[in-house]
Amino acid sequence: MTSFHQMAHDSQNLLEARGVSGFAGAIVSPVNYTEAETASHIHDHQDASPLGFPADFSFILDPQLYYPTSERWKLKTWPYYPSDFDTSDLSSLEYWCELNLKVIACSERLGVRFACSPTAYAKRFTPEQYKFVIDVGSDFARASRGKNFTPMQSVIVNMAAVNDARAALALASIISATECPWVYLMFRSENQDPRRELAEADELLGAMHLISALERADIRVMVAYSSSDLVLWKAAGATASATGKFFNVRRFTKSRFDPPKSGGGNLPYWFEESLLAFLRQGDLLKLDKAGLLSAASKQNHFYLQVITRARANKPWKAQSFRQFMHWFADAEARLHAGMVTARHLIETAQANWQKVHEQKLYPEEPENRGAWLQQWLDALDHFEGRKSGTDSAA
Amino acid sequence: MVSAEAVAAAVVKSLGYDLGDVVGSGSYKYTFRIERDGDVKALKLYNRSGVTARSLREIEAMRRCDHPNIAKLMGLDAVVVDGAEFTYLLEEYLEGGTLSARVGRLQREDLCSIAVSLSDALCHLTDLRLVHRDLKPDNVMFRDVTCSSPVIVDFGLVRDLGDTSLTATWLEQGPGSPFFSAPEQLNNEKGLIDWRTDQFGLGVTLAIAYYGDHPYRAHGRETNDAVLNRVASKARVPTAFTKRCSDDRLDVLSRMIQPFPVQRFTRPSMLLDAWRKAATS
Repeated sequence: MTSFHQMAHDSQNLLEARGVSGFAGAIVSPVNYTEAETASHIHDHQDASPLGFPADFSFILDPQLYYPTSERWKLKTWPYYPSDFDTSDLSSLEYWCELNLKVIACSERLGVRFACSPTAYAKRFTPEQYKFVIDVGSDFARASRGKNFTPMQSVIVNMAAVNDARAALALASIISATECPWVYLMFRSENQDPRRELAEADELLGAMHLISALERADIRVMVAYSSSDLVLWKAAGATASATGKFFNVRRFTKSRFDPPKSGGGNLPYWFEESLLAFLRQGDLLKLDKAGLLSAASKQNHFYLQVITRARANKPWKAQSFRQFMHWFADAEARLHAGMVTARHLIETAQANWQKVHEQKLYPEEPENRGAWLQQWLDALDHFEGRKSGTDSAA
Repeated sequence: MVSAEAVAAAVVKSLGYDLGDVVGSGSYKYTFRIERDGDVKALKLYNRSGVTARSLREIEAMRRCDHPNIAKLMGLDAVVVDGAEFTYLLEEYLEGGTLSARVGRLQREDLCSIAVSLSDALCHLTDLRLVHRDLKPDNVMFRDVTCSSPVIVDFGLVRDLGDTSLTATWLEQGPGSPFFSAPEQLNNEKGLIDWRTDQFGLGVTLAIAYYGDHPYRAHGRETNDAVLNRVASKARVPTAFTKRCSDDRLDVLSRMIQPFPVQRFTRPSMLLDAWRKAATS
């Protein structure tokens, strides 16, 4: 059980929600909650643990300094947040070392089990910039020695620059110099809408090589801000993945912090394993009727609640978050245990999309046609050596 | 112009030692054997008046090191000859010669013993955030005729990871002896230089010492340039070498020389453990 709940706005209730207890822990969100509120969540949850949550449920502090000025909200109330953050020389290692000490103090006060090194959102992703991030993370690890939490190295990865095995291995070589035993990876995609599936085979392949290389170097990888792409990260060997209320906790893209240009941001979505896709209400009802929902979906703790409400046209947004998160933790556990493989899930989804086309059961959103699955399969084929072109050194 | 011998003569006179032979010379300095009543030392003379930034780093690095398998700095001073000042170092004199002299003559047991000692030395250097950057058979010496006491010498290219680099980024190649250099050195990829760069150099050094040839040479007639091109291009380690290591229960050696640092051992302690295991297998 190595899936984590990435907390976001108004998501503290999901910590206690029945049916989403398959998570190993939660990543607290300083952008959305003050330190006092976070301490209260942790305290409440510890109290709630005997009622059915795993006793070893872990809280992780991600300082979230990569958020842009426009979206920092409660981050500014945290004691580690530097009031001069926007005007300081962020290329100064001394500056970050001081910041590290404040994040460490905060982690100790909260009693979290893991804490991520602070990092900023870089304008340019160069080897020197990555090395600097690793120097900050290594200092964070050294300064954390003897503390009651495990330090994690934060890294925002520009996927466009890791689009082949060699580039991935070069970046993994820099990252693996960290003195942190864990790496907290945030994949940033330049070309992808933050609410849509990652769909660049080369970038996905590079990301998989990166994860794999780090894990083989005995560095544990947590992929933050994941979605259904979890299946690829698990195939690459990632120890842990994190997700949240998916349509609020968006992936790292150029437009991640922009308001949504098209609709869909405030609608309930059903995540369907048989298509590896997010469906709107109308799509869900059509596919349910056509018998195209997966067994995993029907066993989902929230299936009956959602389908009943959807049929009655009652709102089910709260259940939609829970349904996805339940799927995420469940799929992660099955992939981890080898009960199912990424290839099986992707190939099954492709076959089901064929049925959707044949039966003209197209989802409402025109871009939701499963086209990304071929990209995923291409990435997986290359990763597993089924297709040529993979670099010899990988 | 003052000769190195003249400067050395002035030094030994001031110290009360007898001057012996020149036992080594490089681009930056000469090494002499000096002796007084059975006390033998190595005198290292910088061959230019004044000390360069690199020399200062070498001296500083050696002062910080305290490990049985790293050359000991026993003295540092300067002498004035004909109005010019020359800096010199006094180091432990290593009677057992270089690893170069033992290439191709090592038993597996000897190789493992040397590797364990030098891996332990890398642990020490890494703790100090130092990268030697010039590990090669000439820079591994022995205290005696056995293989039990290898010593890393010549810190002329040492890099303190806490300091700024002295190598311009626009240079095609970073410092180091190319034949033993890691791909990141050959390509001057400064962001990738860390202790794993030394791990590669040590891996090539040990491979040459034991097997008699560079591990990236795919076949006997291949030129050194072709070998270097293969290393610089980060090509896969030749299968024949990997197989040979596997047959000899020396997989540790092929992992040390992987093209990308992430593919090598992540921590020096892991390298040390792997060699200890190989030594007992």
